[in-house]
Amino acid sequence: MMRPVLFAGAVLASSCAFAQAQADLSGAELFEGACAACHGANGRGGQMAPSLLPRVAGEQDAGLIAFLRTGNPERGMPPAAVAEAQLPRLLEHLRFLVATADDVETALRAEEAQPRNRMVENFRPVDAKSLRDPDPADWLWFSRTPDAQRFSPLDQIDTANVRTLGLAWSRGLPSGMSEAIPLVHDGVMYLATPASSVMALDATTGDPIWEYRRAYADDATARQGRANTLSMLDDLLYFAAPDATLVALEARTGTVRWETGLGEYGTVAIDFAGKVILGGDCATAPRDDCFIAAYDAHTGALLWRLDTGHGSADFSGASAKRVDGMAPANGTMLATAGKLIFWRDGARHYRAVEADSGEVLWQTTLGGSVPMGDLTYAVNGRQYVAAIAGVPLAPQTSIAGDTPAVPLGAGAVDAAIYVFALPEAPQP
Amino acid sequence: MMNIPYSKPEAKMTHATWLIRAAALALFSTAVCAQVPNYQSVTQRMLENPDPADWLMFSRTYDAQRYSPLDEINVDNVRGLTLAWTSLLGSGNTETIPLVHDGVMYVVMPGAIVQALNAATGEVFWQYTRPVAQALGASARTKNLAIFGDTIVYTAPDSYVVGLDARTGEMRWETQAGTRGHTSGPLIVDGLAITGGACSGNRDNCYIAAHDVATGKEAWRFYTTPAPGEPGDESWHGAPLNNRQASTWGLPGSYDAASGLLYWGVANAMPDHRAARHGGDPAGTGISTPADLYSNSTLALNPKTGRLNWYYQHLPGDDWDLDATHERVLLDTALTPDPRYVKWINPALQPGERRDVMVTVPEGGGIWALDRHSGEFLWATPFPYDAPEFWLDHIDPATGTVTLKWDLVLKEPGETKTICYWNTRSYWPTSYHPGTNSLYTSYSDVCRELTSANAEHPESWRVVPRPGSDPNALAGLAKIDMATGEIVRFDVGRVPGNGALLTTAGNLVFHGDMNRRFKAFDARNGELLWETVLGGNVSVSTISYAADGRQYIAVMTGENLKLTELLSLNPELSTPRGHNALYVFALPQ
Repeated sequence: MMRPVLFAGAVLASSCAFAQAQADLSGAELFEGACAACHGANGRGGQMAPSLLPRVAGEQDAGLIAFLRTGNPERGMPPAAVAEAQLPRLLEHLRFLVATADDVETALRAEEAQPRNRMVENFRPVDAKSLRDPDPADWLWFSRTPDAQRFSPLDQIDTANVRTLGLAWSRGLPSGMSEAIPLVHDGVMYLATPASSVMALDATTGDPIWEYRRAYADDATARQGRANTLSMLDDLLYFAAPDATLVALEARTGTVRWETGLGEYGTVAIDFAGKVILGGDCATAPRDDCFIAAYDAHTGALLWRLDTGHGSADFSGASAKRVDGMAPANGTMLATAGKLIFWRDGARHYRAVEADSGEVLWQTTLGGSVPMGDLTYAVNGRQYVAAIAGVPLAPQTSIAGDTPAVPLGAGAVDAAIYVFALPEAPQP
Repeated sequence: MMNIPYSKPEAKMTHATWLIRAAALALFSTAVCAQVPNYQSVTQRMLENPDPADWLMFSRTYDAQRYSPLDEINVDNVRGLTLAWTSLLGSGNTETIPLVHDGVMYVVMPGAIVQALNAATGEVFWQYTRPVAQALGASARTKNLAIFGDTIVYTAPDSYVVGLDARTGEMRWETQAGTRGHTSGPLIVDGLAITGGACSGNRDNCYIAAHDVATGKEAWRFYTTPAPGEPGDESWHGAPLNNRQASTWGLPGSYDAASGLLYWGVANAMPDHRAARHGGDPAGTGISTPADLYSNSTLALNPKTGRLNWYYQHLPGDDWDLDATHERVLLDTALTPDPRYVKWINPALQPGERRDVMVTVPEGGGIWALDRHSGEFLWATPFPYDAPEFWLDHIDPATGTVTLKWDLVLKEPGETKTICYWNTRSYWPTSYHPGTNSLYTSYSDVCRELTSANAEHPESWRVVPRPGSDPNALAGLAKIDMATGEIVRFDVGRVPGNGALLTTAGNLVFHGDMNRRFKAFDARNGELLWETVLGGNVSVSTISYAADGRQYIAVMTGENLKLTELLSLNPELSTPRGHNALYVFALPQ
């Protein structure tokens, strides 16, 4: 898998080169090199930074020049990569953007808009018993059950009707590494997004119920998050955030109950006895960060830690646990009681194959080709099959399956979740 | 010009190989040739009477009806629609409408890119990338391409009209059209590509032009405002030439092969305010038509020469940036406008009289039906509703002369007025279904609250619901009976859309909104028959075509200029931004 470090490095390198050869550049070109990558092509905001129009509209020239010189390190904005002599020309273009934005006031209001979080209604805590033996309608583990079989007992979609599978819903996701497998509980989908936020979505429509947006030191950290799965126990949702923090969110509201530092980002599993067990990738981390650890699910207290970076096991706290399914495969298969195997190939095709014969019964083409976790669940008696497709990030480039390279600036969404179901019966 | 032809990767290509190939393409523009197989040249006859499987221009046919004669997908089976393929696109605006010819889709992608795709699978045959600054490419708003012979005509965001080889995507010619903003698209008539554009700030760019599709040479040019001494000059009351601006930035025009006339809509007069154009005096031009010609007018032009045959002005001396550009729909109907639904009816009209009609719904609201041979006024009515804030005071039904509400013109510094309507149908294409003799349009019941500048603050504005309107009926779809003018509303709710209407012979109406919902309705009664939820905001686009005998519905989602503004009316929505994607649906095989 491509390391996202390349991405950050390339951006840095290109902006350095940019600063050296800008004497002849117009204000628009200066803007494109120094601002557009984060704030979007027209300054109205991208995935990496908000709209700059409100600030430009609200500040005098001197204040803006000073701001461009120093940046806003606390919020991750570097000083503008523009030579001192070129700053007035850049400023002129910023003023032009404001003057030509026929909706500055609207942009101002959009700037203030935060996710409008609601509560998950009628939330039922997930107890150890339902974790051991999940409701067929739910998907509570990265591979549905603790034995990691990735088998769904749902059989509404089967070999006889899978050819009629239609798109129930889809939702664009922000740019970043898409390696997550959502959970579904009681008709609510919990998803770690490619930008390392966590969302609770209505699993029948993809409409958000709440979103937890964690403040990361910089956008690259968020985008390289590779939390493979979330875990649930009682009313908490466990998320291994890419800033090396284990976060326990209240599943009803998305608010943080507790958080605790860990090694590098990684995967989370849940133990029946109330422990959160966590493993992670330590490829670029100090050796000390290579460990598996268990935390008290309710308080976040460290119970034990198994150091995997040394020759001998090193325990602290309680005894070692066998951890079920610590390493979800990068590219999953899904088997269902409808005698179907769902899988995707490298060319964006997503297929349903008859388990007995291997015959392809249904096929569609998704927006991206990187294999991600898929799952099936049911809400109100309707069975859904969900798959996430994303595309790898490269500098200034987005590759969507077998489509050619197309420019990718800030604000691009290059992942989506697709959810399929059988047609609903005609209205009576 | 840079061109990146492309072949599809081998099906079994490994992930690593694929990444390497992708990187090579991105960095070195490796030429891997692929071309459209068995290309069939497009003739004028095909444009006038297209194969039902094709979608050869922005609204499918010259009459801009946006009606597909395909009926494999119909009211009885639309519930079974499945996703045939989908594709994630790059960043930028998505305000465009694909073309389809012989199973190949030609479409403007975000970032000033044109692609030819296999319309059945989404595989790319070729790609042309216009070499423009990334910011310019991402902000491009080209509405459509046009096709003739073996040439694709593209109005690129750097003000060039560009001819591409439809087989390979190689550039044949490029002709600069001043510094015009190429937010519109071409319509090709008899080998001439006719284009408009945005011209804000510079009257030199305010023109419609025709370019020879074979050579790119400009054949004629029609300035949308008269210079001193030219016909219509008196309507400007001596305003300086550069204060006489009116653009054609939106959806292109339509054409009637029988009458040999081209119909093109012109946008508001600029600078935006009457006082700004007329020496500081808001009364410096008329409040009845004609005033500040040919702003907010329908032009009937000879497509061979660009000569004006007739004009009709919908809004005299605009003060509020209400555009009456966008498509003119041509249809033939018996006319019995019913006074219960229609406010202004030409008294000379005999009940049941058949006319060749041109109908349009401007952004500022209202519906107009004109005789398309003469420009004679037939009927008009307020739309989406009659309201005290509707800018139109009255129309003389005998002459069609329009008078605006003087009260709504801004006259003093720092005063605030609410003017209806604001982008009620914006640049979302309308559709006409001959089976129901009805025009289908989306609408938003919203207005513009405008505050003039004073010593303390510059001019400001915001979009607001119409005063006294129902917040749960902020937007909807309307079926407008072209014989009687009766309006039936359906899909009424809180959420405006940015998508096109599409009607089909399957008696279906397709429309998508900015809450990701893409729906099919029964064209006869507006009943909701099918709905899915896409990844982002539905934007313009929606078409139907057939490839290898299978009917498809294609729709694009993504960013467009109006999205931020419209989302401000729906703070409860959480539409993902930037989800530029193409979704294609079909019945199971």
